Amino acid sequence: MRPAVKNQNLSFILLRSAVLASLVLGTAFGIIQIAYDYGSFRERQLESLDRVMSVTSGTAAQVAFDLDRDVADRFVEGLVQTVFIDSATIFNEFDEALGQAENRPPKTNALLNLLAPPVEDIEVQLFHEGDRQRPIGKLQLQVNWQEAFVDFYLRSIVVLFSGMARALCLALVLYWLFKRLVTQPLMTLNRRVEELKESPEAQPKLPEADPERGVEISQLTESLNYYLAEIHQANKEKDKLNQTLESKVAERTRALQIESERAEEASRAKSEFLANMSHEIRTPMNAIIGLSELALETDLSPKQYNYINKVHRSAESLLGIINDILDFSKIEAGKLNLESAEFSLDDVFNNLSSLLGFKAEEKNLELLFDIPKNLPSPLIGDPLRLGQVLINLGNNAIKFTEQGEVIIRVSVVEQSPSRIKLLFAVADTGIGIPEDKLDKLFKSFSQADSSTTRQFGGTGLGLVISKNLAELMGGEIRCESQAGKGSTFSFSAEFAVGVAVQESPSLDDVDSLNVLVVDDNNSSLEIIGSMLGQFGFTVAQVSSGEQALDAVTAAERSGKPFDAVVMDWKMPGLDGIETAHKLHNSAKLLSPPDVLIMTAHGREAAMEESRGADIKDYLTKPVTHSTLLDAILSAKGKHAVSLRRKDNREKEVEQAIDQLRGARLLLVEDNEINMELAVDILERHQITIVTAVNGADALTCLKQQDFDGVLMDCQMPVMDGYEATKAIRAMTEFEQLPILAMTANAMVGDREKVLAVGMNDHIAKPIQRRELFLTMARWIRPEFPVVKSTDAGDHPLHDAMPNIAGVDTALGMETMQGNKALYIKLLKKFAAKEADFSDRFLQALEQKQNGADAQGPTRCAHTLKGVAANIAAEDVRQAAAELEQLCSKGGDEEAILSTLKTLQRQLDAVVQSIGSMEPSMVADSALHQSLGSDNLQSFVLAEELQRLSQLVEDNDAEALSCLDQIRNHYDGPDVDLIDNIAAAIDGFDFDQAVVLVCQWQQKI
Amino acid sequence: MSGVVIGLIRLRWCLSLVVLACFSGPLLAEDKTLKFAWFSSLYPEHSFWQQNWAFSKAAADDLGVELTPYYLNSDQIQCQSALKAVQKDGSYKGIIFINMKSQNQSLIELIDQGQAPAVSHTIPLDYAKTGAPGAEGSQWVAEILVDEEKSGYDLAKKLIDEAIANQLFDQDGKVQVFAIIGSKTDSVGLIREKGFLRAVGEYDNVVLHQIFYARHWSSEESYKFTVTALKRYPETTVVLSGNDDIALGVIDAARQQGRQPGRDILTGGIDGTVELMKKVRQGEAVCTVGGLFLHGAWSLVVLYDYLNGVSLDDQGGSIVRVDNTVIDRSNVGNYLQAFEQANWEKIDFTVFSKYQTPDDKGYEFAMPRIVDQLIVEQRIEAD
Repeated sequence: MRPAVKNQNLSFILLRSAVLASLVLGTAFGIIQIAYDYGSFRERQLESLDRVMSVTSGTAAQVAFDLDRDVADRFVEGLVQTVFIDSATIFNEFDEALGQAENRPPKTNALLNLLAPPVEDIEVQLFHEGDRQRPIGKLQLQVNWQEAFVDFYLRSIVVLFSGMARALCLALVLYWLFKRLVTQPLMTLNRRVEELKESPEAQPKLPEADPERGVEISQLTESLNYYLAEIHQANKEKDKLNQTLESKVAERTRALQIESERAEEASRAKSEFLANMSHEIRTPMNAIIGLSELALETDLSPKQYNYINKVHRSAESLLGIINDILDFSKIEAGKLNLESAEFSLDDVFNNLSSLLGFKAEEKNLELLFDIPKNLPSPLIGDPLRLGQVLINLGNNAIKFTEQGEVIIRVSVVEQSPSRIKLLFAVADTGIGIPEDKLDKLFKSFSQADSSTTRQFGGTGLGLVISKNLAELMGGEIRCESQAGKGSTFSFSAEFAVGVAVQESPSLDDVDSLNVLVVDDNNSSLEIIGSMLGQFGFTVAQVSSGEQALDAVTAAERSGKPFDAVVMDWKMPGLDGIETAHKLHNSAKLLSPPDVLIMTAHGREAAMEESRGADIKDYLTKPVTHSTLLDAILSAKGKHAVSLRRKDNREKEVEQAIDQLRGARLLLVEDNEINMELAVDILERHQITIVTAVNGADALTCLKQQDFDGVLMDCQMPVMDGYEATKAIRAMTEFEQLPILAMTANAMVGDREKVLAVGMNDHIAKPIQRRELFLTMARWIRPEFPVVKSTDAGDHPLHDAMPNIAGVDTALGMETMQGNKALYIKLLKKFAAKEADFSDRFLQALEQKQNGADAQGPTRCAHTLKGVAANIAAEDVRQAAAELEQLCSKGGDEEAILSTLKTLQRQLDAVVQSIGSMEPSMVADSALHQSLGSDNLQSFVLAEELQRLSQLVEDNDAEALSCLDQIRNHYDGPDVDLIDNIAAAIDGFDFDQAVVLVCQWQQKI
Repeated sequence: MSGVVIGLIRLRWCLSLVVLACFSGPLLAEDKTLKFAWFSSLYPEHSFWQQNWAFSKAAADDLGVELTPYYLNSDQIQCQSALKAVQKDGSYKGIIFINMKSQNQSLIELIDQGQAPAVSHTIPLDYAKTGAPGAEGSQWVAEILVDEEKSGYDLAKKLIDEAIANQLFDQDGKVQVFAIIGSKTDSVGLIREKGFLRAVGEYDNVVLHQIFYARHWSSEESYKFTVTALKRYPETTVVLSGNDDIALGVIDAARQQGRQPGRDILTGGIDGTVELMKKVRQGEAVCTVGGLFLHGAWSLVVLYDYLNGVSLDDQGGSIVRVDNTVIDRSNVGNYLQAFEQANWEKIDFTVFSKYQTPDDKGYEFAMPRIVDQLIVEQRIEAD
């Protein structure tokens, strides 16, 4: 930046410079002159002293010779008149003073002594008429130059100042001359030029300057006039040109404006299109996913379940693609922002484990996590985005790997007390990527091989998004691969380190544990061994069941028995469970060690398989630090860490729900399905929902009834959510009413938009339970809160579970962790899905015989075994296991069919038994729970009536069963009305039924 | 007639004065109470001027003249102002003056501006500058002129001869001499110095080292000179003194320097003062060349005669020459005898006046005649 410039005129600059120069030069020359004067002054002084001496010495000698005291007196009197002689005495040759004179008291002081030579005494021998042998006397003088020096200094000061004054005067004269001759004419010239500016139209002409006042100015005026004329001419031409040019420019500008508006319009249209698309797709997606989920929990025939399940999974897959596209568009717009929240890396990996484990299991792949133990926790970053990248890379690895393993490794790149940079590597043993394709990997819309796309599917956006996310997290992504040998995708990411909460359980009691790891997979063996080593345990490793038996026996004999054995389930030869059996039944062992089984094939299946064996716990692969430590700790009777953490997270949601109980909310939603879904989710938790189909409707409802809050869809016909919110906020009584947007709009800026119109917060669709309740709890405070009734808990009591033939409900409830509703749901699902097992199995058998799917029957039996284990249908599980074994061993058809018959018999018994459960128990456990309290009855009834109303409007025969349920629980006065409705439905007079239901609704 | 012309020229504004001037001589001669101003160049205590005054006063008393003394202390400005005052006073009929500090023509011009005739003595005027006295129209009517060169010569010769006679030589057989004279500005001193030099020049074995100048002709000055000069020239045996006071200082200084005046160092003065005569008698001084102290009295006689109409031309002219007398051991007794008693009234000055004792021999002013008168008077008294 240039410093600010002060406007100064030439004369002033000249004056300043001249004054400065004159002062400096005046001073300098003055000093030089004084210095020179000093030299000559001193010389002159000495000269004059010499002269005085030479002139007077003759006289003095004569005086001394004559002994003439009068003359001597006059002579010395004369001498002391000399300015530098203070006193003089003349002596004869016998030192008799002939004359003595003193001028004045000698003037001297310290300053004078410093500036001038000191007073000195001079003695001159006197000789008479050339007689140099014998002096005739002497002359004594006291020489004092100080007064002369004072004069000199005074004179010097005068010289100096007069020099400066002279120079100053010269400068002033110069200034005056310059101003008069140069500045003023220039200023005049300038003023006239300025005047010309005022009247640009006139022919410019400066008045001629007087050449006698300086020919330069007059020449300058002439030159200026010449150029002014030229400029004037040029301007005229330019104006002409400009006029044509302006019209052209205006034309072009208009064209450009139109173009630009079009482009902007297109861009806006694109954005709107994306937003609309997003909204339009997500809205039905919300419905599809939510409802299919709900549907899967209902009583479905196996075929229906299968279809719905596929719908559900397809929808989820589609949502993933849409989310990818949205993420990509955000990346393109540079608007993808990361969250900054505390999280535990273990949670991320636990989630990853549950998402990827299932897929790996399906493909019989070993999925392993290799995470160093001592990573700081919590970290601060975006766990969802980190998880997204890991899921993406993990999914890819699993997708492109046919056999072998997928290992996800974490290592520390850099670490400081406040920050940490981690490297995440996902290594697989899949098909790999040719080297020449590697550089295309992270480019938009490209996969390594377009043929791959056809084979494996995928949008090709995953890696691009991952790359961008990694970069946003302060890292980079890369890939090393060899075709046919597998790939390793790695990315780094930087996180802040949060304040650690001490939650590690004391390892004091367990730190000296002696642990044996058994796994046929070397990587797994190594990773698990390393994890246990990091806990401070003594670890031994063997790769088969047989070796494990030997090792345990040998250890006990050596006096250092193993405290625990962590063992893979599926191993060649003796598998984990068989080994566990043998360990516990071994006569050689006095105290067999605790056995933990690791399985990649589902916890339930392993539990089922290991029935009878003393197995302390089951670990689902991939194993994380926390799950491994939790398992060992709980085996040793300690409380698990991660469960506690999970409890905390769950507790958070529970608290939110508890806070919301009794709330009365207005749900504004035009989409019926979404409305139904939301109502279903919320009403389970004693939250009363009144619905409105658009903004206008909502305003009417708000005027008639009181609400604790509003859940508002944004895009609706008649009046959208934004306008509705504005209208609500315009009413003073609703200034504080919590309004939460529930919208499928996931584009950037949507959240800002809803906040801008006055909504309090934003809940994205598809609805996630945790987000939904936590967000609601943040804003909504029920006016009449309701305490969760003890008998209406979300989890039914164990003892409320009926006896079901062939099912160990106690074990089942334990497996479901006490969630009775879930258990009943699973039971129902089982009954619906597995009733036709024989048909499906025979079909698979037939296909096998046709050579289509050799594993079909085995898989079929395996699945049933797993599901049966889940619901604790022990007989069915056992029979299915037998069947599976027969199939996998390639047993003869007769044996298979015989076993199938037994199985089917037992299955039928279970299905029947489930079917004969108390209708109240079976039909709708949620409803049952909610009816536990009288004061809730009307609320629940209203809800059921709403549902009934919907069913009859839809001419749905299901209405009858809905009515039956109502009748079963209803003990009010309108029993006749129920009968009338039932009659109308029975007679397919749905119109009549609608009227009747409506009447009943109005009544309550 | 000449007096009338002068009167017309100088005093034309006053008719009565013109008339007076026309008959100046005879008119004043009738007046018995003549009043003269008497000037001394120095001060009353000076021995020479004491004597001079005494004789002048004795002469004035004899001739009936009222005499007023003026002492000028070697100050020529004082001299001029005193002279002007006297002229302005108008009661003085005559002036007896000294050419002190060689004022010469300025002094004569001043004298001429007055109406009183004046006679000079002791220090001669430079006639080259002033012209001779007695010029027509000039009030300077006469000068008593002593031959000072001869006085100096006589003294020097007397002293050198005495030294040679007493063999006061140095190692080289030479008589070493230094001289102390009065102020260089007084012409009488210079004239005496000439006499010294002429005398010294007559001897081959005399070395004159240096001539010192005592501004005030005083014994104090000569004492200081002598003390130093004797150190500077230790073999000196003769000191030529410009007057008697100087000689007295020399004698004291010589004695102070351990010399024996009159024996190993010889000196003498000019003036003939009683003090030095005493030293001559004691043997400390060789001689004094005197008579000069009588010149005030001789001047008075001449002025008296002039005012009484005596023509000076008839008496030998306006320049009246008088010789000094050498007083040494041979005659000092008489002189002392005559002068010690100092009863100058015994002297009859009328015998020297041509108005009182007219004759045609001219003026015969001489000290021996005074001494003779006194001795005669003393003998008469003794008888």
